[in-house]
Amino acid sequence: MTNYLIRRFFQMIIVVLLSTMAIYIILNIAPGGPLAGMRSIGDRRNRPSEADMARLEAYLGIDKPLFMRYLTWLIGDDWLGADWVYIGLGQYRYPKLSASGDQLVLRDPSTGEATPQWNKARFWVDPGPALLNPGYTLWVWGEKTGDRQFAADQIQVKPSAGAARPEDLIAFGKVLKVVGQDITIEDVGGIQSTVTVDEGTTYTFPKGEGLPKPEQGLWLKISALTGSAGLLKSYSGFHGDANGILRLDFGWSWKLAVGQPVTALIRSRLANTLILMTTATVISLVIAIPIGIYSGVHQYSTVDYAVTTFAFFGSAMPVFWFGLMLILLFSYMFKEWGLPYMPTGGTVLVREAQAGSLEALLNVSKGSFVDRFMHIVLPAAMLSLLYMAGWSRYLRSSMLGVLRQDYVRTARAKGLIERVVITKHALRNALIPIITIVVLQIPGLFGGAILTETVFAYPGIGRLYFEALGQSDWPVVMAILFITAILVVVSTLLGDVLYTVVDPRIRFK
Amino acid sequence: MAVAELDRESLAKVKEESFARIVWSRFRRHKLAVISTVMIIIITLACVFAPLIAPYDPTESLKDENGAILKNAPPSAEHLMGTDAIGRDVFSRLLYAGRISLMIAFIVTLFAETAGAIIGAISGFFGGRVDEIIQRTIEFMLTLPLLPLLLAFSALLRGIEIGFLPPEWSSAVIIIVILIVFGWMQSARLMRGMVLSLRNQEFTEAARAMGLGPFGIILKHMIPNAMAPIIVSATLSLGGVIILESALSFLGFGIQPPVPSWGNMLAEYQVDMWTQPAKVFYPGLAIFIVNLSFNYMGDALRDALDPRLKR
Repeated sequence: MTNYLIRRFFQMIIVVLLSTMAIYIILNIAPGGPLAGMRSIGDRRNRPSEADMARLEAYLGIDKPLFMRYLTWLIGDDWLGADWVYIGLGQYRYPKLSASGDQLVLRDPSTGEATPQWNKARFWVDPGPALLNPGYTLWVWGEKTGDRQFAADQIQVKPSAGAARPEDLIAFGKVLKVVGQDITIEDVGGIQSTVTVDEGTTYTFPKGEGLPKPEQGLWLKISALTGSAGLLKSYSGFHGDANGILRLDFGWSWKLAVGQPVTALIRSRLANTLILMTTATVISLVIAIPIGIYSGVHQYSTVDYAVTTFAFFGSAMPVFWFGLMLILLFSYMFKEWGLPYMPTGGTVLVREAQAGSLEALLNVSKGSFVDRFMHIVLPAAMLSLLYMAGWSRYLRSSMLGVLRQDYVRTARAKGLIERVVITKHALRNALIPIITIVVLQIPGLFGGAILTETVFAYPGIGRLYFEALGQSDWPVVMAILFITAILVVVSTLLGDVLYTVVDPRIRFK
Repeated sequence: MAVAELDRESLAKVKEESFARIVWSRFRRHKLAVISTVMIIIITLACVFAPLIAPYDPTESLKDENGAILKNAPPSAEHLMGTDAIGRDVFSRLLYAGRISLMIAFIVTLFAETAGAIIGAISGFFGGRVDEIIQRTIEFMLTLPLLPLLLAFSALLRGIEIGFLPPEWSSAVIIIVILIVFGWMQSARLMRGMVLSLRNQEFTEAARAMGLGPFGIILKHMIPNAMAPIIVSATLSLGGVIILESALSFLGFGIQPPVPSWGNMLAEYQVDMWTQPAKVFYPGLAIFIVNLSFNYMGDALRDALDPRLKR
């Protein structure tokens, strides 16, 4: 068994890796994407220029080829030498912010003076100088450090095609590629040179490119910002090197909560989903198992018909329709009729309970246990009905099969009372299909129920996933799917182990 | 010689008939299932012959005598279930929608459950390397998310046309394929779980001792004995697929309007459910009745086909 588990563990890793790869590809080939629609913004003043788009793409990392993006997501990009950050200080709204002035505030947050307005600043990160896209023509001032090697003090992106070249240039040419601090340029004769930049290098961009002027931003080494104080990481809006999901860096949200770590988003929803899903799962198991056993033992009795119909009731309707009907009845109609009505959605009261509602009647205080409970009743009831149907069916079916087997007859013949025969001999062997189905529910405990959460405006993981998907907030989507994938492989393993527990004849080698 | 052959043939024929009769007589014992079967047959026929039965074109906006579009008309003799917000006859739409919804449900269930059962049986019976490869594939498939995939295909979904099918059914084909590809894993897991338990039982030993090959054992002994959960899974899936399609429509990935399906009618009409709850009630009711009937039928069918039941 130990050998088997070890082998399964390695197989699990492979399956999760392959599935994240496939999911990443699916997300990226889907039309849309995080920048969809930005090029077609109606108002020209709000429409980003091509240079802005390029910068945004570099910021989000989607300018890189697909496999590099996946690798960055998986293992991070610090191994690429991406230790430079560009800070453009809100070049449109805050043109007067002086870069050097702000830098001081930024370096020392512990003194408490003037909290840096980091939400107003823009941060761009790229392996190497983010703005120097291939194809730009550069004028370089500085020192010659070797054969076709230059250390740049000043870099100017050539203002226009007709501009005269200054005399004191040391190098010029088109950008071929940017790796770390090294920029490879190629001059008109096809000769390639390497230009090395450092903190002191200043940049000038032509007007109208939509790029920040040098005085509006500056280059800093990330280490200066993230050092012992962990300065920038504590403020939203910044992401440094990606460490990759293997080092538990889930990245930061692109759209739903820009700049916030994905883990914070998930954490804010996780408890809600766990409460809802666990409640629903436990309730439906507690009801489905007796129903299944009873229907199996007393096949075609009136009670069998009755409980079967009850079990089918929830699953026979689309969840969102059933949910809306529940809201219509218990919240909307009850209010009309003057009965104490239920809350329509959410997890707790937002305002004080309104007169006439059930909460007001019971005098529930905001955020209390009873308050949470009242909000969970309808969604949990709906989900329980939904799961119950299937589970009780599987159990009824396998009970019927098992009850006719010889060993059950033998047990009865031995004179065991019926209850012992059913619970000890029959039920145990009827559990295999139930195990198969119920373990597949485990990933759902984390993943939530998209439709239920949507209908009841319940802030859980399911809705987070759907919202993130709708807005192409891929880091959030990927994080949720990654955790779900792990839960899927773990739960199938759990299922296999449980098979061997209920039926010792099953062996895995 | 000729006489003997004739005998054998007629004998086999008699046996087959009697098996069907046994199944039917067992099936009949589930009273609700018989009623359900009648319901399903009526609904299916009504939907199949929708062009003959439906009083109006399901996509046409009807006009009243003044030439104005007949919006949200109440139920009447001409419009059994009224008309919707752009003047289409709800009853006609419901019938046409049933064709697509039922077709998707039948095809997806048939293919997904059959494939799942066979794959699961092979996986469980052979075990070892075969089992590992199949199970890891299943896990891989289980981790793939349905919604992004549909998103990726949604552009295709709107534009695709398959030659020999009516254009409005072409997008259904994509949904069918995706639902089959994503639908076989559960029945495969169920079948494997059963087979893992069955293959160590005495009758399997006996079959092997009598010289039956592995595929013979799978077909003759494993699959029939493990059928019960598969039938349950299939009946849940028949209704489940209709509901899944409606959920996809609710989220915007289902059959694309104006082609009606019960799911997208529900999604379309739930917008005015506070003002006109009746309209959203009809497609919901159709799904509910069909689903309930499938479930009862599944229960009865499972009991009727149980090989352990002697009489």
